[in-house]
Amino acid sequence: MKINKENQNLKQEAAWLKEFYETGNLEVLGKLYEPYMFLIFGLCLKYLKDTTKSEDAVMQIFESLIKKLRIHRVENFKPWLYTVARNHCLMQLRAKGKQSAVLFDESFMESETFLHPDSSEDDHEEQLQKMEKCIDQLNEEQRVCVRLFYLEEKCYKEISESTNYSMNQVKSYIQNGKRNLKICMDKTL
Amino acid sequence: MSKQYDIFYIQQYLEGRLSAKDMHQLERDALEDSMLQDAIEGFRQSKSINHKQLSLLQQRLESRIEAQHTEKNRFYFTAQRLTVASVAGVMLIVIGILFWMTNNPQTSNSDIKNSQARMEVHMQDKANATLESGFLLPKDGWENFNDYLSINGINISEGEEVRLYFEVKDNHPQNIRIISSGNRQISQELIRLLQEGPLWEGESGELKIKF
Repeated sequence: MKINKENQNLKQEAAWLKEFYETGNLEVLGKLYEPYMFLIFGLCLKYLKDTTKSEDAVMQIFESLIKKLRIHRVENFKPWLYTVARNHCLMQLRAKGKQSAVLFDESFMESETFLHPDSSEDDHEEQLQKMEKCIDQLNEEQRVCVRLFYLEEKCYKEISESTNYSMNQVKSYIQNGKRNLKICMDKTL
Repeated sequence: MSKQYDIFYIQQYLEGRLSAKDMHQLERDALEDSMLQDAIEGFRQSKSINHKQLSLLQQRLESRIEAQHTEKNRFYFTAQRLTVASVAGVMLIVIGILFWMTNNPQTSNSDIKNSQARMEVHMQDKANATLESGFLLPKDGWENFNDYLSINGINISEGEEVRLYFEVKDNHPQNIRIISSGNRQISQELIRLLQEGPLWEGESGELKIKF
């Protein structure tokens, strides 16, 4: 069901993108952008740490979408929007000299599907064994957190409570553990 | 990729009001979705989620779209006007051509009529010879003689009047004498016309020829 809905959303977005490319109708772009607006706002809050600036940034990002979509042929809207939004915030920070930012390549799309391998049952079994091995290779904090999170399906709060790591620590252990896992899995493939 | 979460759900998450299972799911989705991850972090850092801000943002987006819309409409209208204007222009030209096409044969018709009228007028104004005295008769009739004069005396300008006398011998004009004439040239021309012209009956007489 979830997958279906996602596919539907993706299809709808692709249709809107196509329509926008054909008509340049901002109403269509608005339909594409609006569901992400609060996420973009949150993202801007994270980088800019200022409510008013973040509000403006949300609108500026919308403006830059209009310009950029004239140039770029975008297939998958959400990852692209993410890089555009993030780059916008980083540029703003860099302009203020607060931080030297490394901009994301806007054509770059992160795809992390290794935890949902699109493969048969046999492969799945194999993958699980491989993953067990890779998890064992992680450092202790990462291993503990990754196990609790992915295998026991605990939330950050629960993990934090049971390990005495802070929520942020838990999060970064999981993020880093996940990254290392992916590297390990790719290696042994 | 994650399912679409809304701001209320994230707020509930941040306030710890979701079940552990739901929190886990959101966290898991956030790990797969950098945008969601960053947004959650942003909201967590700002400590509060103001829904009013978000609805204001939505309004800003709407008015931005609206602005473009009216702009586009304006553009559309000018495009529409341009279309109307060009269509009107083309129609004007077409109508003009049609007018010209329908009127031109008429004008040429009327031209012909005019020239016909002028010809008729000319014919009416053709040379006219009348017998003043004596007995003279063109063999083919006065009408034909007048025609002959009109056609062959084309060099003689209208309005000229010549009086002359001649005798007929063997149906030919002889001893042609000019009684009165505009000038010598006309006299000579007329004598030539008579000499080379149609045959006559009668004896002698005086003619008045009016061109």
